[in-house]
Amino acid sequence: MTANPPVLHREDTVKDALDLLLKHRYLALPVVDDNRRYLGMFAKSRLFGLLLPSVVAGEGKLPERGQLPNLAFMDDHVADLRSRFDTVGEQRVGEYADQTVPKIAPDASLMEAVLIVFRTRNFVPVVDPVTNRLEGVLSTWDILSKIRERN
Amino acid sequence: MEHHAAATTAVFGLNPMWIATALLVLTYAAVISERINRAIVALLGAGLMIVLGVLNQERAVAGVDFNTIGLLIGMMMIVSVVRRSGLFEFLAIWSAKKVKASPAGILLMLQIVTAVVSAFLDNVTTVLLVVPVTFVICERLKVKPYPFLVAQVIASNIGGTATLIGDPPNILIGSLVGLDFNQFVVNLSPVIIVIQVVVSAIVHVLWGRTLVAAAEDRAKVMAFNEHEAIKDHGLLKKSLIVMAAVLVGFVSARFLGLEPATIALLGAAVLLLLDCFGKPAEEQSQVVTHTFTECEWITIFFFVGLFIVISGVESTGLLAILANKLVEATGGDLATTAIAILWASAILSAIIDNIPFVATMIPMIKAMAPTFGGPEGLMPLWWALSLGACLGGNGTLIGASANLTVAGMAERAGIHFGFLKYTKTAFPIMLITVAISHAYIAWRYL
Repeated sequence: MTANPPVLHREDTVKDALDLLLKHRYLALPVVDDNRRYLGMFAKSRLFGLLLPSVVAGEGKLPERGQLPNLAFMDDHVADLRSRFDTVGEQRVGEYADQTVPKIAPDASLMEAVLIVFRTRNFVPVVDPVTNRLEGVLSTWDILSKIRERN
Repeated sequence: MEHHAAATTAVFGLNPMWIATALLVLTYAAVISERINRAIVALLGAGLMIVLGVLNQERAVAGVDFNTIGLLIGMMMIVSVVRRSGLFEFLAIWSAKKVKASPAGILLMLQIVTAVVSAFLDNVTTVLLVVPVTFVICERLKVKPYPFLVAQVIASNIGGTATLIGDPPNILIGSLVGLDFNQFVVNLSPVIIVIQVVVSAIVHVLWGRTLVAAAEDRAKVMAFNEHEAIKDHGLLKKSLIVMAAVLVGFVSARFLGLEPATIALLGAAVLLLLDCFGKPAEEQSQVVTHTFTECEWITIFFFVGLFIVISGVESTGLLAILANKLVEATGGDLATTAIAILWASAILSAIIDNIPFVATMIPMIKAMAPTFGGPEGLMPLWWALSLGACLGGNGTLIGASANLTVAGMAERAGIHFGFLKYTKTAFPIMLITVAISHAYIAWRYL
C-alpha cells in the first residue's frame, strides 16, 4: 500500500485534476474532503466523458438500448475539444468523484486485494470502513514489487 | 382430475371470490405504491392465486396470453438488433437537417419522428432511441432540451396509440379481443394524426416560436453527417428488409391466418439468422445472448403474473358482476358507456399503470356483449378503451413508462423534470387529446 498517495481535494478543479494525473501519469486519483474522508475516485476516463456530449458521459446508468451506437456523425476537432474542456475545467472534482469504484478496508485479505486490483486494472483506495478516512491506495505496483522482493 | 377439484376449493374454506378480489386489490396497491418492483408484485400475486386455491397451475398457465407475450418479446428482439445499425440516429439527424437545424423546426420534426417510430415500436424503446440524439443536438444548439423532451414523451404516447403494436394496451386489446393490425390502423390512426397535429401546434405556441439558436451553432448541427451514424450498412439493409416483411405480415395477418406473435417472433428469428449467418459459433452466441438481455424481462414477467391474477379474478365471476354494475350505471346506453370508458380510462391511466387497468377492463367489457348485441356491438368500446388508456398516460409524469424513462434521463443530464412541472403542461394537453377522441368516437361510432 502507498500510505500517502497524491490526492484531489473536493474543491480542486477538473483542470487541477488533469494536471495531477498528467504529472504522476496515474489512471485515477482519490478525492477527499477537509478531514481526509474518502469521497470517491476521479479517473482519467471521466475526463474523456466530460469531452463528450453529456448524454454519453452519463449513459452508464441508462439501459443499453439508450446508448448511442456511435458518434461518427459529429465532426469535432481538437479545437472543439479544447473549448469544451475549458468550460468543464473550472468545475469541482467533488462533483465527479465516483463512489462506485470498489474500495478495500485496511485489514482486507491479500487475495481480496489481488482480485480487486485484477478486476479494476487500476489502483484501489484503502478506506477505513468506520471513519471513512482514506488510509492509502493499493496499486498493481505495490503487489508486484512485494512478490519480487524475496529477501 | 385432482387439479380440477383444486380449482374450486379455496383454502380455509374462504369464498374464492373474496380471495381473488383481495389479491387483485393488493396487487394493484403494491404496483401503485412502487415500493416493490412490479414484476415481483405480479408474480407474487399469481403465485398466491394458485397456492390459495383460486386457480390451479394448469388454468393459471391457460390464463396467460402468449400471443401478447410473444409479440412483446419478438418486437423487443427485433429492436435490439435494428438499434445497432444506427438507423434511429440517422432518422433524427436527417430530420434535424431537413429543417436547416432551426430549433422550432427540430422540435416539430423530432415529434413526428418519435410519433411514427412509436407507432411501430414500444414507447419506452422509442424515447430511449430518440432522446440521446436530442440531447446531442440541443447541446450543440445551446437550447434547453426540456421542451424537446416533453414534446417527445407526448408524441411517443400519441403515436403508440395508432397501431396494434405501438403501445401495450393496444397489444392487449388486439390479442385478447382478436382485433387485427389493420382494424387498429383504420380506426385509430385518423384521429391520432389529427391529435398529433393539434399537439404539435400547441407545443409550437408554448415553446417552439420562442426558441432561438445562433447561426454558428446551427451550422455545427448542419455539419453532422447522418450517413456516418449508420454503423453497419449490411445490418441496416437486413433490418429494413425484415422490418418491412414483419409489417407486411401484420397487415396481411388475417389473410395469412397468422397471429401477431408468430409474425414478430419469426421476424426476430430471421433477423438473427441474417445477422449471425457465417459468424463463428462463439460470436453467434454473443449476439443472441445480447439480444435476449436487451429484452425487458420486467415487463414480460409483469404481464405473465398479471394475466394469472386477472384470470383468477375472472374465474370467480367478479368481473362479470362489475361489468353489470357499469352497464346499470350507464343505463345500458352504448354512447354513455363508450364515453364513460374513454374518460375514466384516461383519468385512471394518468394516475395508475394502464397495463393492469386495461387487462382488467377487457374481460369486463367482453362481459357486456349481450347488452350491446354481441361482440360486434362492442367495437366502439374497444376504441374508447384504447384511446383513453394510451392517451391518458400523457397526463402525469407517472402515467406511462416512457414519461418516467425520459424524466430519469433528463435528471441524469442535470435537467429538472419533476412531477408538477411536467403535469402542469401535460395534463391540460392530455385533456385536449381525449376531448378530440371523444368527438371522434361520437362522430364515427355513436
